[in-house]
Amino acid sequence: MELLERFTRGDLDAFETIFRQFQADVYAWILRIVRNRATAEDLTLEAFWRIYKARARFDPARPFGAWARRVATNVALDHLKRERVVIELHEDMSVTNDKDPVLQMEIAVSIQRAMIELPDKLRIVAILGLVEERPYAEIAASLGISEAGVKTRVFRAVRKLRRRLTELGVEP
Amino acid sequence: MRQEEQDKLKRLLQKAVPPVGDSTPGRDLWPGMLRKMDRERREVHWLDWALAALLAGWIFFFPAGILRLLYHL
Repeated sequence: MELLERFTRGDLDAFETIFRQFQADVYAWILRIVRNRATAEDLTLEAFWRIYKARARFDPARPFGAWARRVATNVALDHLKRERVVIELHEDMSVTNDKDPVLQMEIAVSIQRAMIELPDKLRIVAILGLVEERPYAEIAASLGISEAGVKTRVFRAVRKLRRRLTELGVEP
Repeated sequence: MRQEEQDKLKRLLQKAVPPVGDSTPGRDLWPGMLRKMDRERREVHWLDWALAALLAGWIFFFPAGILRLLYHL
């Protein structure tokens, strides 16, 4: 019997094999969204727990990776909704720029503030699309929306970010 | 909005919030998964508690109902 079929029937060995095969991908995807390693590890476990609970509904003919990424996105979104997550700043920010390091740090804090204030739906596309530069098709699949929908959200996120940064005294 | 304006903002964001790229977990997560599964399985859902409380209340107020319940079981 195929591995995915055995998984849908609740075979723990099959689940372990799949877990080991996809844990890095799911972890990396969640880390891109939540940007904290410890949280990403916890949420990876939560995502796989939801996957395991929903195994009977999974169609083994469909790609597991895409489904896992979709579940992972939902788990990460739930986390963002639950907590106003602080985005970790670049540790080397002050030394990588030749301008005033204090000013650079202030700009970074303003950017962080503008990002946090974005609605979750826009923040997630801003992080994945603008910061991580993931393909729009990939983001669309993980969010269960169209590519055009992702483009619209990116556009709205950029507009809001520019407006907020201008208010905060940062010229984007 | 021009593409170059979006690219400028992108560069600004990436400077403050650096991309994490393809990071891997620092450890094997499978043992943690097994612990989580064990913990989650032992946890009783609130709905089960509510049903148990409902049943207990029903038996308390209508003790004769036990016979009817046993008959249907």
